[in-house]
Amino acid sequence: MRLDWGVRSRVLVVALLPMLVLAVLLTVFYTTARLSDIEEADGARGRAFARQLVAASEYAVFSGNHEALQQLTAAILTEDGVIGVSILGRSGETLASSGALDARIALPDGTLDTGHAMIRGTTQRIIEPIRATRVNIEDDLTRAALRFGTTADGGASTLGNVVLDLSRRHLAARRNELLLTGAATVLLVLVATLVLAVIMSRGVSGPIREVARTVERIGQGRFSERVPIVGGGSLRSLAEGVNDMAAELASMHADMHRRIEAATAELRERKDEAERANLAKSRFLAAASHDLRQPMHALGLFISELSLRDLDAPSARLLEQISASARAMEDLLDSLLDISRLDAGVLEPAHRPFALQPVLERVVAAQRTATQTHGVSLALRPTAAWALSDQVLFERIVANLVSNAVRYSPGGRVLVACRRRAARIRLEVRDSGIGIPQAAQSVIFQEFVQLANPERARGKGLGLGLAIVRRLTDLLGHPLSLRSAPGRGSVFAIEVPASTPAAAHDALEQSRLPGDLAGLRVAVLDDDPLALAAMKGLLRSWGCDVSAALELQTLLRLLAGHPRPPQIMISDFSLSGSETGIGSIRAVREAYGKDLPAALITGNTGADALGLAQRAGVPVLHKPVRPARLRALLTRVASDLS
Amino acid sequence: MRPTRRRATLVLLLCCLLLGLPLRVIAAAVLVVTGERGGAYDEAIEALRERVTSRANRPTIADIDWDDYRDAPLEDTRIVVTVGSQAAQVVAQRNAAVPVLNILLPRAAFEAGRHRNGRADHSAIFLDQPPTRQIAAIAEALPQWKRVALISGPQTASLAAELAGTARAAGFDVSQAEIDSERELYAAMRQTLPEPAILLAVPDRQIFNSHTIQNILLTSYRKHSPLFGFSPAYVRAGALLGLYSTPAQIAAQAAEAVLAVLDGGPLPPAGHPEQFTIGINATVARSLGIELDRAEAIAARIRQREEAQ
Repeated sequence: MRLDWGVRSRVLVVALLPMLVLAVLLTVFYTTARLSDIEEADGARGRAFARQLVAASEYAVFSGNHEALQQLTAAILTEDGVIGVSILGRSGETLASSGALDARIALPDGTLDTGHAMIRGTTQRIIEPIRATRVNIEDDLTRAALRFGTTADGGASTLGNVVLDLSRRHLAARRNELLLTGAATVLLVLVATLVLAVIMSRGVSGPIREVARTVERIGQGRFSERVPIVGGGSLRSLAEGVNDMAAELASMHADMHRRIEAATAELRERKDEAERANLAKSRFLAAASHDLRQPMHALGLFISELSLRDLDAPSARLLEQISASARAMEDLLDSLLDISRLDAGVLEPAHRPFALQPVLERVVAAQRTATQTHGVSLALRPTAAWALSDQVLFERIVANLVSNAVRYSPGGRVLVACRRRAARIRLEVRDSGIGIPQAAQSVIFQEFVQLANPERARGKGLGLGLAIVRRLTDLLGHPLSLRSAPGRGSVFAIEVPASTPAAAHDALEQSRLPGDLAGLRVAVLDDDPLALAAMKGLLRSWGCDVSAALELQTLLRLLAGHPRPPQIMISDFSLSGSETGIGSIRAVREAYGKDLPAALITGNTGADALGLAQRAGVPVLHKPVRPARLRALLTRVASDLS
Repeated sequence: MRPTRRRATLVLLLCCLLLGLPLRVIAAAVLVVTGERGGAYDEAIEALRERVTSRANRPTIADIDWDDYRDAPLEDTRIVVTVGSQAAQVVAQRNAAVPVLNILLPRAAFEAGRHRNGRADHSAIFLDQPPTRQIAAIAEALPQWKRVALISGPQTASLAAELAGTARAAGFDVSQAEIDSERELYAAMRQTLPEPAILLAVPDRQIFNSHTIQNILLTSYRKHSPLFGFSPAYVRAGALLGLYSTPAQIAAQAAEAVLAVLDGGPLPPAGHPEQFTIGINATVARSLGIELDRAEAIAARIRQREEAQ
């Protein structure tokens, strides 16, 4: 049997067990011995009484002096413990008696020549013969004289018996007393031993417990803890061993800590490096898109303005081609802008129910030119399903997927189809194109990856389409999947939640044409004269009353000199000098009411600029601003005013 | 002298044993036969030997056990002396034609044996004192005391009667009791000692023995009655007076008879010892408040009285 005992328990057991056994054995032995002594002494006392009585009663028995005998027995009865005493004659007849003999013990029949002692119950009976004192009168001469003519001997020498009964009741009491005393002594000794053992065991277990505590602290990581060296022998070796172990652990721990520190520092450095690189990329993208956007913005505005003029046919065709090229460039810029915006995390999707068919038709229609270019047969399987998603972002996803499929399936087929799956709708874009090897399927969603365009021909896009798709599906929470094999085409699929045509009017409102903007009072601030001129021209073509300036003071002056206060202010985000778009809007609002609607136009897609604008509660239009968006904004302002 | 002889005897006995010869008694004029050994017997034999061998012609004397006596040759034996009752009985049974002298035996024993043989050359010196001497001793030692008590058993009734008669003749008041057992002893003593008297012990073991003597003495003491004993042991035990003959005294008387026979004379008739001793326990005397003469003086007066008769 294994006992999970501590040092102290073991010491206590070692100290107490032999003590207990010894104490019990000694108590039993001494109690027994003492009782037997007492019993013996009692017997001896009884015999002494009996013999005393024998000696004293001899002559009275000889002489038949019953009165004297009675006095003797009465005297003996007064002794402690004597309950009855009788003197019996030669034939067993009672000569004298005092007290009451125990009736359970039979009296002897006739005389007994020797002493007897018996114990029956609580009575001890002692019988002693009364013998005549022998005085030798028979020397040789007397014997010679007696030799003849007389009997051989002078008859029995025993005159009678003394019977004495002693009570043994006090023996039981004495035994109980002895046992009680013994038990009390054992208890006292045990308690004393316990106390002593506890004190002693502290001496033994103390250092061990100290070692245990230290080991526990070391276990908690306090490697500087050391066991004080107490005593010698095993205790010393133990303490020294623990101390050595702690030192070794501390050194190992420090070493490991150094290595982790080094590794962490290296990791941090790498991360910082990566972040710096990412930041640099974002800055580059933002800067590049801003710088590209300024002239594109202006170009777009000029084309719009030009298209409103009456042109001859060749000029109109030319303008159409210029416009297409500009749109293509805008698309490219939009893609870059989208990536920047998605990476900045400032895009908030607006989920609404909408019918899929019109959206898909628009996407297919938009690809008509591309399909003709690549000789692709693009088909749309009609659907009556409604989906719940951000329609604009969803349309963008589908457009990207379809444009991608068309681009990589020259002379092939592309099918856009929807399929209802419980509460979801699975939209698939299938193509019979070149397919994507398994190994490349994970990288195609990264930016600027184009598997079949190592020469990076501009006609094959920028390689941002799928990157945007991945970012958008992640943002919208639509699972995106790809099934493809080289030479066997690809199937891109997204799943969107299904919906009902409940909010059809919302969709209608979304697609409502902009209202009349005639007479809307607009203040425009832009430090780029070209962009300012383009904006001014566009707004005026919509019938707006425009006050435009390159800097804030000029604008305020212009506004002050105009009879009507501005109804909306449009400002570039970054202005020359110390002015900022937000600061300028604040200044104009101070002059014409803090509720004055305003909008910021910026080529900067950095998260900082967008955050500032959002905090100021000013909507942001990104350059190049599409005339339709600008018009929608102005229309909303105008309708709010009316 | 004696050790040398004893050693010679021992050597002879050893030689006899070695040769397988029957043990033969050395031929002696006086053959002492004894059954018992012990202080009194040895004392008597030694005293006899000394007395006999002190004669000028140095008669030979030898002693044997009564067992050996049955086959012992008696050619050279002039007289056989028996010591003790047992030896007397054995010698009487062989009935050899040699004069026999018995010593250290009670009169009763001798008388029983003589009836069987009826021989004239068979004499004895009794151990017991004659009743007249006993009564005389009482009278001489305690002249003021006139009362005598006697307690006897069935076997000593005649002796007691004789003593009582003698006492009455000497003017004593005698109270007498005969008992059958020791149990009646106390009652007998109460009966015989209603007032102080001299209790005369008789040689009856049923009454006077080592176990009873203490209580007899105690009772007699309480009754202020002194005990008169017949041996030195009685005097040591607490009897006031004792009248007895020592083994040496008897042996001396026996030696005279032996020498007379050796000289060709006849054996003296059987009778009581001539010499005697008075024993006195002075402590008992003081306790009882009795004043006594010296023992020798009393003995002398008794002898005078006997010589006067």
